[in-house]
Amino acid sequence: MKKTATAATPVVKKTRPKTAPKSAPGRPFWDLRLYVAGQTPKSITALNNLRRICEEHLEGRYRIQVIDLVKNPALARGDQIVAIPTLVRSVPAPLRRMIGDLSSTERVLVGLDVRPSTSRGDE
Amino acid sequence: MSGADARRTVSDLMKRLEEAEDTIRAIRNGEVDAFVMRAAEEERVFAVASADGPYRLLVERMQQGAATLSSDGAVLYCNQRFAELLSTSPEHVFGESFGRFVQAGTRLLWNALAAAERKKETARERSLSRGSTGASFPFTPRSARSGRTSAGSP
Repeated sequence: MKKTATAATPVVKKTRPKTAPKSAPGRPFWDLRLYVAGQTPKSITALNNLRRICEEHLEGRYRIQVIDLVKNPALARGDQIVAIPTLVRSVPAPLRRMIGDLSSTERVLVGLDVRPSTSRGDE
Repeated sequence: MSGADARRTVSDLMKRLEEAEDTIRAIRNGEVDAFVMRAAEEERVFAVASADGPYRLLVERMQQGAATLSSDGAVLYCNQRFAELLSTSPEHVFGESFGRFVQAGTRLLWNALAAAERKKETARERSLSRGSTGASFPFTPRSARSGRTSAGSP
């Protein structure tokens, strides 16, 4: 294991949509935070997977914040991040963490509560 | 505990167990490549090996020999070129004493390192003789916090 560079400035990149929309009445909205470690392969894979899934299933009803923990490791504390990448769904409540590169669309949809859970402890 | 309380507790525990199991699953499947650890009241991010792959490739393929030695003179790491300079292969060098390969190597090396440290990293090129053939090659020692490195070129 190798310690990666750290810097003091917090960098929180917001990706589409440009303006954070308010949840319209009766219309669910997803507020997501993706914790990454710079440009590690799994971080990039997770972001690509998340963007694709959101565009396909939550069009216009989501916001993704990408939080780079290499630039600001202290931000890991708030959401108790242990492994990277981790996706945090803060809205809809309750808060939920999903660990990994989000390569299983089915699992992500269940985690996001887009699709009801059918089985537990799969794989 | 009332029935409702018990159900709430079970549901909360299930959620936490699910998340813990999901973390283990993701690690086992190789879906994560960095970890956050707390050291001295401060979070630190550690990336697993794949993050420094491109750097490693560069070191392993470069035409300059490079090795990291422990403070007692054992070779902790060396690249292909370094092993070639010693007329052997890297797997025969790892863990061995540097002095085994180079005539009076260890003594020469430490003297050179001490001199380099005194002059604050302005390492001078030195000449080392290979143990088996007596052929010599130049090398430049550098000191590092975690190990000692020497680099040689033909």
